Amino acid sequence: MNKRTMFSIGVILLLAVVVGLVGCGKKEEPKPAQAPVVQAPPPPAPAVASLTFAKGVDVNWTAVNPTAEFKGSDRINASIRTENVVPGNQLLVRWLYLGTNQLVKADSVALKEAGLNNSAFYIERAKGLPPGEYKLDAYLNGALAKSAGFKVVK
Amino acid sequence: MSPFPGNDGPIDFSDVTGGGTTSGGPRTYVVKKGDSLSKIAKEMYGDVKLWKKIFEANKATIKNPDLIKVGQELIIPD
Repeated sequence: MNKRTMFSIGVILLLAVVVGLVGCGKKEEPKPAQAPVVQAPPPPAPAVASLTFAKGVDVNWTAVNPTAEFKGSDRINASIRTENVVPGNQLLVRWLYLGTNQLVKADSVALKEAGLNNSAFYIERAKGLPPGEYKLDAYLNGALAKSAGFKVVK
Repeated sequence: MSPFPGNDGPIDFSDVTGGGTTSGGPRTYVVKKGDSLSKIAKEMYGDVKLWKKIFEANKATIKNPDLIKVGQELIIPD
């Protein structure tokens, strides 16, 4: 190998080292700033806004002659206003007689309108409901959402 | 006998009638003993004359307006 060849090899090696060093020292280009992700607030949870006992309900399922005291022969109505619901949400009520801690009746409806809904439930008994304290538990999509009590007197 | 009716033992509530309806659909009424369409109209609308309105809405299940059955569920139109 003559001097010229050795010189050429030396130059090539030197260039390779320089290129390698430059490459290693290369700074990464900054990534373009990402736009901050704005998450939409979660939709408000479905809820029971009100539960009212009454002697009757009108065509809008709202209470007429609200009261928490009934005679045994009365039809007992419960008007329930729900909010933030979507069609298909389930509203279940359980009527309980506290005298013996018994379930009197349970009924459910599938809510049909988005947002606000009015629903009405009732119980009655031809031979009269026994006097005492009662409670109605309202469950929305399986979770207890509201409870309220009423009394049946002789 | 206890003065507290609930303390006499379990009560048979199987004869309790009831139901539920919600906005966006028709109201319903379950016929009970002694009911007539005019009586139901009085209770639901406050006007016995509106029995025909209930009859018209339930013609599919009521053939004779003087003959409604206990336990039958009627649509109560607005």
